[in-house]
Amino acid sequence: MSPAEVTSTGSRGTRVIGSIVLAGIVFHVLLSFVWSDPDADQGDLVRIMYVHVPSAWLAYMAFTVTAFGGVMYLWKRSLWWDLVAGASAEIGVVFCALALVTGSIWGRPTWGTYWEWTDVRIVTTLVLLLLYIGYLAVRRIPADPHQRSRRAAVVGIIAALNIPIVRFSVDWWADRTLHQKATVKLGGTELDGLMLFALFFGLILFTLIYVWMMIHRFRIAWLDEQIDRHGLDAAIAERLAESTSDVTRAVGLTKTGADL
Amino acid sequence: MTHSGFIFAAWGIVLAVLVLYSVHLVLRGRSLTDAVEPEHRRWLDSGAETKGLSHPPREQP
Repeated sequence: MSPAEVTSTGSRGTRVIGSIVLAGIVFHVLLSFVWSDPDADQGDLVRIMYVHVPSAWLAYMAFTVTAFGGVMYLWKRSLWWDLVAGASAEIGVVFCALALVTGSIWGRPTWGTYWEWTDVRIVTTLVLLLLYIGYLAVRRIPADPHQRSRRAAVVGIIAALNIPIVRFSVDWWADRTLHQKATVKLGGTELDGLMLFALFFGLILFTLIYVWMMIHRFRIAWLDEQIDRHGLDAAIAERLAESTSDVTRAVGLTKTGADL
Repeated sequence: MTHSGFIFAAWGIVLAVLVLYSVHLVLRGRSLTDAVEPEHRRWLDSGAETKGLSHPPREQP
């Protein structure tokens, strides 16, 4: 595709991924609602797990990418890594919010409450969400681009320290959470058959959605950067042209005065 | 199906948010693309990957 033919942030790659995602969503709905059985303990409520766990997984992954992008930016000073970090944080915030909302909806019929402030998993996840909303706010503070990217990178790395705390909170503070321990873990899982397949399919599907969103969001961030950069260049060029014409006019007037 | 209200609410919110955010990305991408000259619209087309692009150099006082 030649540059002139680019009219959006879409491309052949995003269209292929998007088509796979659309087909995958239909398959995931059938898998979660028709083909998989209710859980022995949770009953039909287990079907919420097929969107709740992938949302939480994607939030962890997106924020990890943001932290890694921050480290790479501080090391390489590459704009590419800075844009990747920012794009991933925004998508991570969307998925983290979805994980909290779906967890809350799941909690009402399971625990009898939508929200429990003493629950370590819920509260640490909320803190994670707020940290990355803060990260996005830091990226919007007007400052020198280098300074803004450096600050954002540091905030992104520090905020990522909360990811393992969220992940292992149900093990470290088992007596202070209503949340169940990890359903899928190394060395054994409590799920089997189609339920496990539906969960893993959801993880793969949501990862593909993340990839599709990342490509679009990165290109948007790049376009924003170009508008900032070339918009500023154009403004400086315009101002220089104005001042040059002022000087020329002033010199012309002086000459005219001298001639007189 | 038991608790169908909770289940459909959770799924509905997830699908709705993902669709709305995706549409937002596509529309924002289109409007920003129009505002940028063709040779600067894509990272690869701009040659930035070969220049090891960073932020513009700071102006010397």
